[in-house]
Amino acid sequence: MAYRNAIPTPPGAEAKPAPQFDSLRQQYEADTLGMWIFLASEILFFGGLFMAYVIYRAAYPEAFEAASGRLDLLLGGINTAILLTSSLTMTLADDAVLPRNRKALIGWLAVTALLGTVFLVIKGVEYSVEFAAHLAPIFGRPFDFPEPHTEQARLFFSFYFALTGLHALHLFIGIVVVLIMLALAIRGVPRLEAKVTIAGLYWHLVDLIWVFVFPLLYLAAHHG
Amino acid sequence: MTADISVRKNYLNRDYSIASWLTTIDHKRIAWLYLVSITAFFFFGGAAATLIRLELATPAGDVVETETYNRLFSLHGIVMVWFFLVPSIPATLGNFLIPLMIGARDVAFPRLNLLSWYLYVIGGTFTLAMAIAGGVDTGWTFYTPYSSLFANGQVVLAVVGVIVAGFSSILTGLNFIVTVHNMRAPGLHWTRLPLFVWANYATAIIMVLATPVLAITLLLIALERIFGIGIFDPKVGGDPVLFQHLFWFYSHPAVYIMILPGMGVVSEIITCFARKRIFGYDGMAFALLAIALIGFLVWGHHLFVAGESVYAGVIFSLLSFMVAVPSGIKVFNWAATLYKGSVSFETPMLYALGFVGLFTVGGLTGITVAATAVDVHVHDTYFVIAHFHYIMVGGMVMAYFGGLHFWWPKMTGRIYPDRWGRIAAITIFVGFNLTFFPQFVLGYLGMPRRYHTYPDEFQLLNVLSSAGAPVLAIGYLLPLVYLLYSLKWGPVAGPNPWDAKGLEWQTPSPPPEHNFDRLPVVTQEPYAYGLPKRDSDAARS
Amino acid sequence: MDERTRRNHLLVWLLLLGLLGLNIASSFLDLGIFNPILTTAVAALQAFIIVTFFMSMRSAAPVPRIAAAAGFFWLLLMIGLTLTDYQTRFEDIALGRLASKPGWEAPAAGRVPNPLSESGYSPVSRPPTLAAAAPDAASGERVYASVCILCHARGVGGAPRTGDKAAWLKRSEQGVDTLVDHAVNGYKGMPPKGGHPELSEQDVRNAIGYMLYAAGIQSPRR
Repeated sequence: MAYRNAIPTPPGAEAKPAPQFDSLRQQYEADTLGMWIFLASEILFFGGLFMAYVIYRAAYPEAFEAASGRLDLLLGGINTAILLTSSLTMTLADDAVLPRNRKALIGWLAVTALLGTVFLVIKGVEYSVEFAAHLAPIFGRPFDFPEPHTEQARLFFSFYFALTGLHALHLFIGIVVVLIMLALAIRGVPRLEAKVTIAGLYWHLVDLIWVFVFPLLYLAAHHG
Repeated sequence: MTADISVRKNYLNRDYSIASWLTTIDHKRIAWLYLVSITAFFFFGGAAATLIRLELATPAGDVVETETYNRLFSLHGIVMVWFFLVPSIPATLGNFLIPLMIGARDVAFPRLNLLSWYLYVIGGTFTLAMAIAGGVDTGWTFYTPYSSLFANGQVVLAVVGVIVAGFSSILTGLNFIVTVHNMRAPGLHWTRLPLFVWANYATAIIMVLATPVLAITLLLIALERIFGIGIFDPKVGGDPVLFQHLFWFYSHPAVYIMILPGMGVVSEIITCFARKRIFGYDGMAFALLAIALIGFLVWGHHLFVAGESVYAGVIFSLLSFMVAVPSGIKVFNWAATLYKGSVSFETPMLYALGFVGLFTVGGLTGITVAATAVDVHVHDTYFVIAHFHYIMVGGMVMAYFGGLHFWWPKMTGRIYPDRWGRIAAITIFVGFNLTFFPQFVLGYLGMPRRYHTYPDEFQLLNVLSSAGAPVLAIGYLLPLVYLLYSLKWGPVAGPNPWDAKGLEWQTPSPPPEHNFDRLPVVTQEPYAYGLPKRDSDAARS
Repeated sequence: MDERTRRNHLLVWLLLLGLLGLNIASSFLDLGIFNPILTTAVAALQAFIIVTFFMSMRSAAPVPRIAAAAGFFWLLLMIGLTLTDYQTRFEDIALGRLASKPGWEAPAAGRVPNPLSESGYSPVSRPPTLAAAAPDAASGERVYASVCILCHARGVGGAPRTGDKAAWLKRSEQGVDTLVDHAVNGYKGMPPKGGHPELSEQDVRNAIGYMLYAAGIQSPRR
């Protein structure tokens, strides 16, 4: 997982870098740097939405507070905890890959994918409740919210669905990537460390984005 | 190197099948894939421009209807910005040359490189589908709430095409940054990096950090049109000006995506044909990065009259003036490089000199419109049109053609007829100025952009402008003819026809599949022109 | 596996969960402006911990560090420079809603041309229950734009912000006459006649009428 001065070559594995690289170390550094640049790009992708949200929330504080109060804090909090835990299990999988502890690697990857799936299921439950409560301003569905905040509550829920929807899409991609890693690990493919580390970086970023989404959306209201 | 270049295995003749091209991960072949597809889009966007100029030859709207005209200029803008200018130099010359210039066998992620070409093609297919299905009338800027709530065209197809092309651009930028950081040959320190590589590196930073914001912004338009998620909808309290902030946070830096690689090309050409090392190498590299950074801080100057606060306008205006400083450094350094050099005027040099002159005009008029008080007067007039065409066409397209002519012998192993090259370069220069200089005057007199009719008193200048367009078109078609001709009948170039110094000239033309027979070790600066000859060249092989 | 690494990762995880609890708990307290500041700060701390420990930034090479930092730095640049606009606009974006208020947007019939008003029209339906001299929102707009806007656009000194429906609804319940009385004679942060003694009482009334319109309140109760 970490940047290491020398990547130990496991005995017996014919470790050869891709043809454009001189050494495995060069390849590993290029891979991690490439992933970090991609993540910086992702930060700005979500950043555009975050910025728009911050500006509107500053303009309509009371409406956003009222609308945020309609979200399910309990499910949101549980989901946050699940995602933070999945980051831990991803890290533990990463810890297991270099000591070639295949069983732990397979186990932690499976747990990570499972936690991600649970998150999506809970998110789906939240969505269905919100659809039933007429809080989803999409596809021209009815939108019910008491005056005087009807219009800006609509704005809030637009953000809610855009942010959580895009995040769910990223998480879904993350689950697919983790499942691919799992398949590789089960098939016993050697030298997975760079791949698992990079998959982990992506997974943690999806977690990191949620860490901001949660307080922005769910904690905008006073619950006291 | 070797004399029997025609029989030597190189990246072009190793396999002729179509499949080998479409599945290639060789950066040189991917550059060709880009070159072909970009040329197609260039002439596609150019056709739209031709119709626009034809319509504007008379004051009345007689050639096309108002609606059609709106769709034409939108198509022209979308195609030219995202499918020609943004990928032009980085994806073709950059892809071809960066690994050669830094002594690498390929870019860091060759498969990702091919993926970005496919994304470009998919994005382009969406755009073509959009055009066939009736186009959009939003302009290339897709301003809300018109684009999200009212426009009748194929806005979703258009924005999805741009978003996909944007991801292609992000992946290219990512690839370049990692390549430059991790793949340099031994001895190639940052201070020995050719300015073309510096320029593409600075461009790549912008691609990676700005393009995602465009993606999310246009995605919000698509979401609004498909799902009804209205984030810029004024009816619920959304702010359309916020769309403009987000849009220009990408699209202003995108101007530097378009111009920085051109500056890199021109630096290489001028130093070679002045037979003199580049003046102020450190300042040139620094200026490239400074333009990339400051370019991120000036987007608000597109919003002076859009409802942005006056205070913000003042800040963005001052920041915009600051971009002139590194740009000025570059122009002065090119001039100083020419000073007392043994200048010769081959085709690439003509393009490069044309770039310097036209870019200077475009840049100085940019300072004019960066002043808030002046901008209120000329905003949305032909003055602005002329200003950015001097940068984009006079600057970037000139540099692109210059670079293409400069490295054509390296890419193909053949030399094109230089006389025809010079004729084309001069035709383009004349045609360009005839087309766009009258537009400065038109704009100053108050002719607004995006209208297909105008008062009679503007006709003379519009006719001049429309007369320039066919000259420009001939200038662009000529290279298509003689460059293709040279592929078959051009004389063999040899590894270094210009006697240039960069690493890319140390390998045969066309280069072998893995670029260098033996990996070079760099012991010299990239511009060792006029220095006493050493027995070893920049690359020892 | 290295036991110490594993223990450290578990501790980091517990810390993250603790911060999550702190964040949720803070939303049950009314800290005013500090609620969003606190939750964002805690989120930033969580993000920092994830980047440092789970994403191994602690032991990463310098260039990936710069790449990661650049992502966050550029985001701050974008937000910071955009806020220079939003923090200094006289016409708050809340005012943008004016265009879509009943009476201001596409009233099918009965739109009353009013050349004196900047928008060119007077609102369609006058609130029926107003005091004797009904406020003329159209001419009130001019008073508003020259005087009241300085404080009411951005809510300086506790002034109800233009377009803030909830704030104006609360006040309108006291009746327009009370509002006029407060505005003419001064009340809390509101200086008498907004510090412009040349205004008549009717001017003030008009301006209040305009601001009630801007907030989307059609018929203020007495």
